[in-house]
Amino acid sequence: MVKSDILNVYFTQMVASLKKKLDQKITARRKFIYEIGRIGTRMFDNQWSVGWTTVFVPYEILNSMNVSGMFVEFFGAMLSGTGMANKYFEIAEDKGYSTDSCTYHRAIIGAAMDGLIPEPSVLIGASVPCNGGVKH
Amino acid sequence: MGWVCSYTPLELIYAAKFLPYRIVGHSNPVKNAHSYIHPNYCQFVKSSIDVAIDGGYNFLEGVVFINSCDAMRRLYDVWKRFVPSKFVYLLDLPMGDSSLGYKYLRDEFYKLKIALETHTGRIIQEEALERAIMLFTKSRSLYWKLNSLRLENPPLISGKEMMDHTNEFFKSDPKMWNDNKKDLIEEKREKDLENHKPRILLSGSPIHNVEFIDFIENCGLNVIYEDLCTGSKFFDLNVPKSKDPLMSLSKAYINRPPCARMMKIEERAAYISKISQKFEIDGIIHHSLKFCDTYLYDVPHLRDLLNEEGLKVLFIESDGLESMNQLKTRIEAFTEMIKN
Repeated sequence: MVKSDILNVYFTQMVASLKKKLDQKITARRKFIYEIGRIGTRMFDNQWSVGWTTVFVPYEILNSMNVSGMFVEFFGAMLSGTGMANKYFEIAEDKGYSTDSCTYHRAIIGAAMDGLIPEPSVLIGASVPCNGGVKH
Repeated sequence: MGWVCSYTPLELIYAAKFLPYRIVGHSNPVKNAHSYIHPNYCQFVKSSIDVAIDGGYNFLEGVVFINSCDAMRRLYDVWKRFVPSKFVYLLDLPMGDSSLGYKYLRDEFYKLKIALETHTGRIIQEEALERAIMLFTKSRSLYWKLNSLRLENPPLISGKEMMDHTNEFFKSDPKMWNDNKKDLIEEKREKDLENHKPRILLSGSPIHNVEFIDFIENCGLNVIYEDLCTGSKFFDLNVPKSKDPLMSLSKAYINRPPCARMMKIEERAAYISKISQKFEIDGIIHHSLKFCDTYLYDVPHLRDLLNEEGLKVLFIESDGLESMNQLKTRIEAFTEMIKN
């Protein structure tokens, strides 16, 4: 099993369990997380290409081209939520990324270097809202 | 009229009959800025707020900011709200490699022109703009003549002294600066400064304080070129004559040697490498202000690119002139490394 399969399993299980719950009762929160999970599974779907993006990138355009936008800051927060971020900070810092820089992006850089996330076909940065988003 | 970023069209400000004056802040520990902005911003922005809040920039009519980075945008926000100014303007600057940028930046310059005209109630005549372009072109060519003294090995002028002339340019009328510097080159040529210290190119975040250059030179190095928007790189700009001066300015500014903000890391590395050959550079010091994401994120990739070219690089981080003793040890160790 390659490292990025961990995420595939994570998102697939998340979607399956929420689907069951949604069949019993629909709540806004469940529906929201379910949709995020579905977007996550697209990263491993051969029908979709992966595009790394920041917030404020127009996902509609990407979707129409079968590019699944991965909002990296969200992913950085997810790594932190699952308690995996520290490992990836260290990997990024070993490479020379400063401890002063934003932790969302440092976690993602470390995770990408470690092979946790599938390689993207495109990278799209937006100059707003922050420098980190467009630089990393 | 105050300005902060080297992508500000100084020619346009001068043509509007304002004297462009660079905002540089200070290099001491930050005093009051933390009441106005989060501590997690660079020393340049915080110290500029310090000076402005204390009334140190009250003599300015206003300030033209550029959408350079988050910190600069926040500086604009603080200025607009807390510093008494008659004119505060934020100009948008495109980034990356795209000819679409020429038209966009021309439009931005045009909007600034209209804003200046509305503010002063005076039209900026095309001839005035052309005269301003010629004047600044003259200053740049004088700078390069003066800087050619550093092409010599050993250099005939110190990095500190060049930085003094540069800083003077940021505060004075180019006409007077040009007159003052005209004869300096010959005077300097007559003197022979015998010193065979290693030759250094300095790159990275803006350094406004000449003491920083002096500090590096006192560690046993010669600063030969500043790949900084506050040093030699600032003068590396060529505005050709054309029927549309605003378009000429737009193309010239977009095509100037890039800083980290412009997202052209390969071009940046190629520029550093080209200059290093021309000026017989022995080593590179890349300095980043703390919390300057723009430069910090470039560090690992830039280091790889420069190392591939066989260049020795030292990366340092600082907060103005604080924690200089720590840096001294590292710079001296780097000096030893170059000598060996």
